[in-house]
Amino acid sequence: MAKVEVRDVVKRYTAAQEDASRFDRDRPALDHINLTIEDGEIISIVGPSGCGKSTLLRIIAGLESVTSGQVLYNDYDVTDVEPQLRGVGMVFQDYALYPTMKGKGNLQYYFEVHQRTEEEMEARTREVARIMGVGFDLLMGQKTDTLSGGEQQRVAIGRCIVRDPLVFLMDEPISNLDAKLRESTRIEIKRMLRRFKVTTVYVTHDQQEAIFMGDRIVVMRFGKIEQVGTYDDLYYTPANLFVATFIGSPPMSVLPVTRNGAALVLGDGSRFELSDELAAVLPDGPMRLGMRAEGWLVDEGVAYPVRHIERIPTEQAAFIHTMVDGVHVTALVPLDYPQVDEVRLAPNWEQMYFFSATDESPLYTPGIPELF
Amino acid sequence: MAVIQVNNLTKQFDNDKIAVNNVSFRVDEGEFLVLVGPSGCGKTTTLRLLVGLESVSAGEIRFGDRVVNEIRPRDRNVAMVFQDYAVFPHMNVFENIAYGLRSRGGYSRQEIRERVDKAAKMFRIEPLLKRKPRQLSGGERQRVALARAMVRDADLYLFDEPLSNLDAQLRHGAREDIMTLHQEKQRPAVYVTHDQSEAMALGDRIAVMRDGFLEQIGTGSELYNQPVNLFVAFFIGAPSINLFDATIEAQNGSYYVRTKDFRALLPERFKAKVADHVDGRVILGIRPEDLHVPRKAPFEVTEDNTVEGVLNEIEPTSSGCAAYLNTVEGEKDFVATFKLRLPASYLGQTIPLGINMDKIHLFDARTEKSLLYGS
Repeated sequence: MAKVEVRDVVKRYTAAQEDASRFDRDRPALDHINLTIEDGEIISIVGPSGCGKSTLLRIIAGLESVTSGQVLYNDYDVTDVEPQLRGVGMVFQDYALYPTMKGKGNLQYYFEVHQRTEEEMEARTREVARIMGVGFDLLMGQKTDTLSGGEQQRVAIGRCIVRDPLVFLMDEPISNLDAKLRESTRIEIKRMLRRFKVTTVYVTHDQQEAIFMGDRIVVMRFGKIEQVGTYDDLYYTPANLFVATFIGSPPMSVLPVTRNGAALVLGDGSRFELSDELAAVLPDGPMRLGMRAEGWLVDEGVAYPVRHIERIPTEQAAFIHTMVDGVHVTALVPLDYPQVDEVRLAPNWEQMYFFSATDESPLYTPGIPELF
Repeated sequence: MAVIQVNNLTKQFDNDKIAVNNVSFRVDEGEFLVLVGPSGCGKTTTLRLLVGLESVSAGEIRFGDRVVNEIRPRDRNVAMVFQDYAVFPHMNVFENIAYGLRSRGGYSRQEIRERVDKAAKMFRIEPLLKRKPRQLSGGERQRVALARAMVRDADLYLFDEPLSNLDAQLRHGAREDIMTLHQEKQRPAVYVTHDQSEAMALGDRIAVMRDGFLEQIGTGSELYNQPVNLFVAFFIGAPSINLFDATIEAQNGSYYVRTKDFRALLPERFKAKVADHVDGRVILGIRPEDLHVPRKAPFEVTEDNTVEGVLNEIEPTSSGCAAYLNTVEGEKDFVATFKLRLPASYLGQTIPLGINMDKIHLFDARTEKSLLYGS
C-alpha cells in the first residue's frame, strides 16, 4: 500500500497523436496537475468527457509518459518506472479477463507466470475468495464468458487484489452495466476496497458514483483540477461556477442578476429583497445567481408559468420545471404538490450561490449547513 | 380512445428464443408510455415491432382501427429516435432534419425550411444547421435527432434509449427536450430504457418487462407502492427495496412476520391477506425510506417494528443520506435513506431503526407474487 503523489504533471500529446478534428489543439491533456492521495484513501476523479481524468489515471499507472512533472509512490519517484514494475492493479470498463480460463484460472495466472509455489498460489487465492465475500467461490469455478457483466467485474477486481497491489486504479469499471446492476456492484466494490484498505483511484463521469466511491472527489475540466474535496465541500462551497453546476442533480440553474441597494433584480425585472447577511457581503452591480432545486421558497414571491411537473414517487419528490428570465429552472416540491399552471417562487437566501458576472469565481457560497 | 393497441404480441426469433411473449398494452392519445426492464427483457424488440423493423410472430398491433402487422415501416408513419442518434454523417444538420420530410414528399421547399427552422430553434441548434454531424458533440447530435422527429407529423413517436450515450449532467436537459417534443406533438409516445429513474421521470405510465413478459403496467406511483411481484418491487426504486427471508406467525389472534433477526407485528388490514400463509415462507420487502431513526419516526417505534443494524457506510445525497447496514444475527445487508445527514461518528455502531409496517411488502417465496397487491 502506498501514498501516491502527482507533482506538477503536464501531459502534452504530439500533433500526430491528436484527433485532427479537435479545436483546442494547443491545450495540454493535463495542465500542471498536483494531487496527493493518502495511504489507503479512495479518491474518485470525475469530469466531463475529455477532461483528462483517464489520462491522469494512466499516468499514475505508468501507461502514459509525462511531458514534465513527477509521480511518487511512498516518496519514491516512479516517473520512469515501467508500469508492470509499479505494483498497480487496474480494472477497466471492459473486463479484459482471459476468456478461456475459469474465474480461478484468471486469479492464478499471475502466479504461474511469476513462478510462485503451488501452495502460495492456492493460499492467496483462497484468502482473496474469502474476503471477496458471498458467492465468490462459485464464480471461481465458471468460465468467464458465462458470467454476467457484474460477475466478470468482480473476478477482474479479485484478480487485481490477488497480486497485492500498492495502488488500485479503476477506470469506469461499472459503466457497461445496467443501471440496476450498477447499484449493487458499486456497493460490492466499495465494500471490497474498504476491506483491503488499498489506496484507490476511481475514474468515472457519473457524479453520484464519484460521491459514493470516494473519500475525496477530484473534479477535472480541460486538463486541470478544479477542486478536490468531500461531497459537502463540493456541494456547499464549490470553488467556481463549473464545479457548482457539475455537482448536484438536477443541475444548478444560473441566472444573470444585478444587486441594486437592498434588492436583487433579475433580467425580467422582478425584485427580491436581500437578506441582511447577503446585503453585507455582496458587491453592487451585475453578478450571477446559482440556485439548486431545493433552494426555492415555493408559494411566495413572483409567479412563473409551469412547463410541467415531474413527479418521482421513488424519491418522494416532485420537480416543477419553469422558465425564469429565459433560463430553465427546477424547483423541488413535495410529491403530492397540486397540478398547477403557475407557481410563485422566491429565493431562499440561505441556499443561494453567487458568482462573478465576468469569470467563474464565487462571490458567496452557503457553506456546509449545521444540522445538529 | 386507444390510439395504439398491442394485443397478445409475440415475437419468436429463428433460434427459438421468444423475445416478446404475449404482451398486451395500449397507448392513449398524448400518452407517454415507458417500457423498462433489464438487458434482454424484450423492450427494444417490442419497439422494433411497433415501428415494423421486426415481423410479428403472433398477435396484432393496431394504430387506431387499422391492424399494421403487415404494413411496411415507412407506411406506418412512425418517428423514431435512436440511442446512437442515427444521423447521416455525409449530410449537414439541416439536411438531416429535413430528410424525413423530403423522403416522404408532399412538402414544399418553403414548408420544409419553416419546419426545420422552428425545430432547430426549439432544440437550440440553429447556429449548427450547416455543420456536419462529426463537428457536433454527443448532446448536439442528440438534439438533431430530436429535431428530425419534431418536423414530422407522425402518428406515434418512439424513443430507444436516447439518453444512454450522454454524460450524466446532459441528461436532465435532454429529458426536458424530449418532454418539449412530446408536449408539442400530443401524440402517443413509447420510450425504452433500462434505467428506472428515467422511466419515473418521463412516463405517464410505465410497463416493466422481464424475459419477454410484461410484469406490470401502471403509473410510477402504482408500480412503486403496489408492485404485484418481487421483480417489479426490486426493479423500481433506487436504492432497491430491502428483502428479507421470513415466515408468517400467528399468536393470540395477531400475525407477525419473522426474519432471522427480528419479528414485526403485521397491521390489522393485512390480516386477511396473510391468513393463508401462516407458517409459510415469504419474502418481506421494506423500502429504504420506510426505515426511520426512532426519534424522527412518524409512528411509535417499539420492539414490534424494529430492526437493528451495524452501520457500514453513509452516502451523502442531496436530500439527506443513504445508510448501508447489515443485521447483527443474519448479517443481511440492507439500506435506509434519511432526510437528514447521519453523523459519521455512528459508523461501525449498531443502531435500531423503526419499520413503517403500513408500507411493507410481502411476497410468496415460491411464486414471488405479492400477498398484498394485485390479483
